[in-house]
Amino acid sequence: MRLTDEQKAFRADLRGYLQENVEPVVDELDRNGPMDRDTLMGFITDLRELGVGFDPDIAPDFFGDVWKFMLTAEEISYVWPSLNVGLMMSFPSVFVRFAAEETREAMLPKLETGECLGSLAVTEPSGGSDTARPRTTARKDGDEFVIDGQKTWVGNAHYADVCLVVAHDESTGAQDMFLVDRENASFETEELDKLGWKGVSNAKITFDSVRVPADNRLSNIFSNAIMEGYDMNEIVPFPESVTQLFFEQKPLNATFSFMRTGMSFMAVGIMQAAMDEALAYATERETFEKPIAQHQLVQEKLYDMKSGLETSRQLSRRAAELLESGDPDARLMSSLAKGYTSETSKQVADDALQVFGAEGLKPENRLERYYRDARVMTIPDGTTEIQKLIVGSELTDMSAYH
Amino acid sequence: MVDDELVQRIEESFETDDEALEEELPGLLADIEGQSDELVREQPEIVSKILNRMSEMDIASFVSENPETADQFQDLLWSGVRVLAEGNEEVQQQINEDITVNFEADNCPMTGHVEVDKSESTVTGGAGVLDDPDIAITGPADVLVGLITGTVDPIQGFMQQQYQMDGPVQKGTRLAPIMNTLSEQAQVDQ
Repeated sequence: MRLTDEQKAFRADLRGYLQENVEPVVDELDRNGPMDRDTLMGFITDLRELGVGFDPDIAPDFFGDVWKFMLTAEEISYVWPSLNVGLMMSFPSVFVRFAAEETREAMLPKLETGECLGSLAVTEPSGGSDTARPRTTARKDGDEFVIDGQKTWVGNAHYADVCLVVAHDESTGAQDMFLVDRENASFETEELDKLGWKGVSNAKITFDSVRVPADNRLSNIFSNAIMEGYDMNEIVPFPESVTQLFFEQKPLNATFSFMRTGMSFMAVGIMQAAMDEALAYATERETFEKPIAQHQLVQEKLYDMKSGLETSRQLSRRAAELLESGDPDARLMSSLAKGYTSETSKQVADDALQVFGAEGLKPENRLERYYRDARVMTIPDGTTEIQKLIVGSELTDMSAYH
Repeated sequence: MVDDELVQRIEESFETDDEALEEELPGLLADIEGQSDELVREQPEIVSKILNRMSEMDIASFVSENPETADQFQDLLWSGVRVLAEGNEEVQQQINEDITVNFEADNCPMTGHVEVDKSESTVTGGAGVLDDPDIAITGPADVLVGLITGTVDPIQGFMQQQYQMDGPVQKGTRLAPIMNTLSEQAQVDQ
């Protein structure tokens, strides 16, 4: 993998922005709990200037370039993983362009200025990671669907403008997704406190007979757009290779492969930050009249961290390469990468904190945040256990889910 | 010109229940063989009714028990598609590249194919598979038949994973509007 000059310039600009604008405030913002909408939108608006976002002008170059997307996940997570989550979970807003007229009227102006915040509601209180069998239902009633059910751990749910909800479509007996816009429909949210990723809002949502136009069913959104002559990768501005995987590996699975590779790069960003802090501390901090880096067991920790970081980075890049080429193994490798790097990030953050000794336990120290943020990584977007089942299923062509 | 006796037999078959129709179909389709195009052109409502009744049946078990009749059924089906495509201006506009597709049922021995020909502006199909098609579609027999008769929306059916499609995504997105328009037309005719 070799970045182009344009990708390198993009990364340099992004790093510059993050160091100047996020790094100085991250500790305080994270300590204060979930960002409010204005704070998140402020960052999203700035990032749009750098070519990061989901509106029609930006998305094709951002989503359409696997490496830009992955670099963004790694670089933002190096500074503040919560910001990466708030940003990335907004991607369902891309579907506003092809949604029902009332949703387009309400949301297109916001989308076009990069101010339409999205969210994705997949996980359920009683169903966990089993996305294939949602308990949330969508009942057809005339020209509308009526959604009932509960979702949990939905990023941005409190203040998202649109929410893409996975539900069982009773009219077809199949799983589908439904775009709910909050100008025309409302639902209750309940903030969830959590161990890490404290800067981003996660909430439980209750859908109580929420009505959405039939044309906001995702399969209708695709159907209507294709009938209007749009190509698949204009509707979802993924690279053509990833839209090809839509055909070969089912749309939701291809989307997960993309998002999980992003999560893998996110874990790499956290690891790099923890490693950098630990390395700097090890060479500066002195005990017994010499830097602690001169103690063999500290060097062993540095070795372990570096090997975890580099194997994770290479595995993440391999997954991204397979996505970029539309390789059938992209699903296997993205799950392997997400599972492995998430678990490794826990270990690397743990080792980094250990290098700091008692200092690492202080809340004002970033090691404590890295440790908590890394711990979250193994759970969302499919737990490590789910990733193992996917890899096993891809390797053997035999499912062990049930 | 389709003879009146055949038309009358087909019409009478609509009065029977599913079991009787299933018994009568092999003979009926054998008599229709060779006259499918004429029947579709002269009696489109009757053909729509046959296809509609058949799509309510358990296609997979019917095909498994009557493999030869299944081919005749497909011939009638594809005659309907060909004639619908000929007369539909929207479809004519949507045909802007050559596309070849194979269909294969995953629950019974049913295969079929469709060819979209840009230079002729035609959509033709039949039983059996083509060598090296652009797209391969697999799924349950009733879903595949539904794609042609209009009871399964091609794009929604794919998104909802009712069937699988293998081939270049760009060809698939060109095929989908054609199939959609044809199935909408088939539904109107019914």
